[in-house]
Amino acid sequence: MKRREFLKSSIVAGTAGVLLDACTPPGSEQIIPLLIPEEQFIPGVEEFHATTCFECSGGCGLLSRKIDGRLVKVEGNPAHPIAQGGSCARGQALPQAMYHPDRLQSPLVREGARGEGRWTEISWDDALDRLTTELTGLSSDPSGLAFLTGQLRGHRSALVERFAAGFGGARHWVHEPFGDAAVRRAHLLAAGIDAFPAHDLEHANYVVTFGAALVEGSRSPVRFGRGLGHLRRGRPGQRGKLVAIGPYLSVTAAHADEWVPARPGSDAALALGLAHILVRDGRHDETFVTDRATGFEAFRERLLADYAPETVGEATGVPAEQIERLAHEMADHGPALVVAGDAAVTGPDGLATALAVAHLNALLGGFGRPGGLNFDPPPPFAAWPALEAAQDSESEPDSADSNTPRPLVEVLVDQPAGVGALLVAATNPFYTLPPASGVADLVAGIPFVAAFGSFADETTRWADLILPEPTTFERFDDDVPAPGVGRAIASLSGPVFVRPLYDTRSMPDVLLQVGQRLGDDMAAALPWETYEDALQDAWAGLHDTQRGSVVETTAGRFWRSALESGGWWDDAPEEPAPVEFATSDGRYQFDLAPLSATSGVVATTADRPFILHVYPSLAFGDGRSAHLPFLQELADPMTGVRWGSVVELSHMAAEEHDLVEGDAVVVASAQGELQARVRVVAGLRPEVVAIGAGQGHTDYGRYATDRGANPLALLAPPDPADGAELALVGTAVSLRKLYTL
Amino acid sequence: MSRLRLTPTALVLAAAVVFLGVLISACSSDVGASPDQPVAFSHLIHGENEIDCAYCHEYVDRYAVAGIPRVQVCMDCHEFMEPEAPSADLDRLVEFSEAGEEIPWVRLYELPDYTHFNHRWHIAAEVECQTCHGEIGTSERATRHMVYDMDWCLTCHEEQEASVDCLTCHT
Amino acid sequence: MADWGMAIDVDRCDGCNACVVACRTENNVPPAGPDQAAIGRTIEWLRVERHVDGEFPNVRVRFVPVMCVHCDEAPCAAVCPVSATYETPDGLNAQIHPRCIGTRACAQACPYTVRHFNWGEPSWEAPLEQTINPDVAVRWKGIMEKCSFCVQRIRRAEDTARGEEREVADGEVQPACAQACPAQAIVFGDLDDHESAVSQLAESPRAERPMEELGTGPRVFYLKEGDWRGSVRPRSSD
Repeated sequence: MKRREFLKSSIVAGTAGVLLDACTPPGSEQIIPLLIPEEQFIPGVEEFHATTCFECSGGCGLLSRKIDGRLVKVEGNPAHPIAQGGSCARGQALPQAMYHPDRLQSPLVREGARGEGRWTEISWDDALDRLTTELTGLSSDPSGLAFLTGQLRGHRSALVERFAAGFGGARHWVHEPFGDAAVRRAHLLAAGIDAFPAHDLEHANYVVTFGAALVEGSRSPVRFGRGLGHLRRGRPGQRGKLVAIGPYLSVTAAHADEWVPARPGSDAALALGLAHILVRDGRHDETFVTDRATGFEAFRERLLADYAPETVGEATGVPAEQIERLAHEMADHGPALVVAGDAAVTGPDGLATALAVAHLNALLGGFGRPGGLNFDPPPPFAAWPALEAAQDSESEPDSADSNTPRPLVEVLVDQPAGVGALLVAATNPFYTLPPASGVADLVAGIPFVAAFGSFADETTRWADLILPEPTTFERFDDDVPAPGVGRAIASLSGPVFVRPLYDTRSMPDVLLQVGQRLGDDMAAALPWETYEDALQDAWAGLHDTQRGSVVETTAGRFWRSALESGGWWDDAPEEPAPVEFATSDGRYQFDLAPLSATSGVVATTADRPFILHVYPSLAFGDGRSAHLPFLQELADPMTGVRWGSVVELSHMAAEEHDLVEGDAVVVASAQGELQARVRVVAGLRPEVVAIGAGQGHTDYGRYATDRGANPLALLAPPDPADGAELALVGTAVSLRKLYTL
Repeated sequence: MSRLRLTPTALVLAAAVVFLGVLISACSSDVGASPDQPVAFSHLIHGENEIDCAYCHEYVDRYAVAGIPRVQVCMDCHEFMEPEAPSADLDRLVEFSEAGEEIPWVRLYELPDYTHFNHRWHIAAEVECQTCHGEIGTSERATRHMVYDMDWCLTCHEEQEASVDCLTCHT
Repeated sequence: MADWGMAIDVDRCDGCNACVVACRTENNVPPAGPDQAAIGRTIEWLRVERHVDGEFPNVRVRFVPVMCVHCDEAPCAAVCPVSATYETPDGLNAQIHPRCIGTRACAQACPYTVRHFNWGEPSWEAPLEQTINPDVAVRWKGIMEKCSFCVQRIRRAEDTARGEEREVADGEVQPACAQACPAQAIVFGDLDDHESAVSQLAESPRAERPMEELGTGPRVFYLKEGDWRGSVRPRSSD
């Protein structure tokens, strides 16, 4: 019996028709499906398989519960240092991704015009032939091939880069709408380390977030949830304080002890205002700034000159006394820790905010101290065999830096000519970028587009070839969780089933198979038959350490044990390792240049009197989890909305604009408009309206399509000069009432 | 007040009685049924050859289910046995085995999904197979001997002083 | 025999709703869908309530997970005309689905509003029914359902312990909500065992039982949110 037939026939007949027919549920006359499956399970006996969740950058280890040959539940892997047995709402809904009725089940080739949505199923052989033919046609100009991906996870990133390099210099563009680009860049400038730091919430006593949606954000809700729980009640007799800064009372701010509704765009000013007080009153870490930092004097002068509490109070809308109090609480009740994220680190001021927050942490002596920040050492993977130098790399301007992916938003403003083929994976820019960004023009100009994924979405719609991927329960993959907990962690995921549910292949496997077909050079660059082999080679480096969570006598045994336990993690350090700054002088840089970008004010106009604030949805992230019915049914923690969107408005604004709860309104920006109902909330600045991201899909399966509204489509197109992706806060909008409920 | 309450309650109880009656009759209407099986397996012959029930129903003392044997369990013996006479059923057995397919046995007993039964504890309590499965082990054809209604279960549970709390079996 | 109970630390709960989805997955509660959800027919054995106090800019919010509190003197059991709900010897408030005839009297009587009526036939669009947990019976149109304290997990743990000839250890039974919670806000265990984690929390000065004054005798204890008082050791009442 084929697996699919087996799965169909083993359906547990539930429900109630069932009640009266309970003795003979339809289709259950044969007991084989229940009792003797191909994998020879024992009915009613549960098995747990370690897997990894790839829904956000958290990299949580999961245990997949398999019973009667079916995947029925996931739990957090108790041994995994990030999950520690916990999980989040999106993780809990994950089995629905595996058994989703709208999964892509075999390769599809376009029929009719692009975007029409008519497809024909083809075999993998034909799909690989097509892909190979298209790529072979580009061999004279390797930069005619471009990858467009999200922030790829684990070795997928390295594999794509290797494919691109082996091809002779293909391009690689990246688009991750709720990414951490500004935070990484700030730490690159200041600490010389291109990473999102680990935050030691467990030993902190006072935590301040600038926009960072720790609970609902796309970063690592499980990691932060664990840390925040510990901050509050993990140490008997010691209850830490959480302060949340931002114009919108997010889930994180709702959990906080104090919410500081600073004006949108004024986060950097507020962080520097707090820094001003610390420096003015001599409450900063003098040892750190003298022994380990460069540029403190200039920074100090700048702080004292420009960021007095009164000035900052004016810019932020936060009373000067409150700023004074917060700064003193941080100094008096440390260890204090500051986290920036989400809306606050996007847009023109995003980098300034991220850098100001890094400097604030530096003044607090937070780098490398318990209750502070650290950078996770990368897991000591073995390097893959070195590539032979690309033949003519110097002649190709774009290929020189092709190993460093370029942000898609940069590519969009200066669209390259001569791209003949585009391979898309793990990103959905047709949904997450506003139409005015020009992504449709870019794609329309490329003759061949292939898209990987488990589901059709707004972007795969414009492809010529769709290559279906297995879900995390059906494939090999790895990940390095970010942020971590200050030690090397690598999550590993193997298939829970003998075969994938459908005729799917994972993107890395397809790249390897295409590599084989492209000829000797590529085959030499990609010397693995499967991605599992490639991962195993890299993971041998972890085996060689002979320490950490998995220690075995042979690399083969190590691989199996690591698969069984869900990865490898280093021993926890006795105390946090000191941070080694990787800057030119090995010292922390109180860099000032990006701070000058801070305007502190977001402009509105008489026509568009509101500032739109888009926040990551707890259930959907940037929208990628909106296809799961369990998450659609989940009431948003702040608005209570299920299966839709609302536009949130403050009591003050509602009164002033004669709007009441439930009114249908049109929210319009310069880029477009959407319709939603009004939800009047207490936790919002009067000049701001808020809409959660994730809904308003036009093509993402039956549960998400035409459901609610997509606020990302209203945002101003990103300006790459800002060095930022989409600005999630700052677009001016108007509200027009359609009718009252 | 009491008059007002009495009538609906009585109605409701009457409805419940009818409802449960339907439920039980749906389960017990075909006692003695002996559906044709894809292979005419004889419990009698295997019993006479002193093969223990648990040789084939191998999970009976360990898990909730007793286990219906995989075709390989049949072949473990039959592969090395010369049939005394040509047998279409043995041929079919071999066909299933060679095709790598399992035998689609027809189910005799089934409990509703809101009822959880665990063989293990019944074996541990030294309940004989026959108590619930009748003379299946000594009959040529597999036949449904018993009526598994709740009253039947509870009678034994009460006699044996086993738990009669609803959530023992219904979760 | 155990006396099962739960403690929920509201100070730890950050409103992430992992418990809500975990409960749904574990207990085969399919979504009602957009139309039914819009008229309040979503079934959630566990919900996270949002309690908002104050006005802009001084707004404080508490998230409170709410599920059946498994009363000692359950008002729902008292009004059920067919005894479909009752208290088990180990302290659970049981809902016996085949016995329920859907009067909804229990939902009216329950002060915690945690009982849900199946207005429609639960359904899964194929192949989503593959995720159905075989340990939990799927309910049907016209009957009530509610939190069971994940009795199927209790029974599994008891089976395992019985097989190993020992008692169920503290922490061995984790309802789906408690297991999922990253903040460790939910603790489950035996209230009869004074060493158990749940008993320790139930004795905290922060612990209180919801609407205890009604005489329902709830088995779920809530630990109140505290106030930040600086880094000095808080008063003993904390």
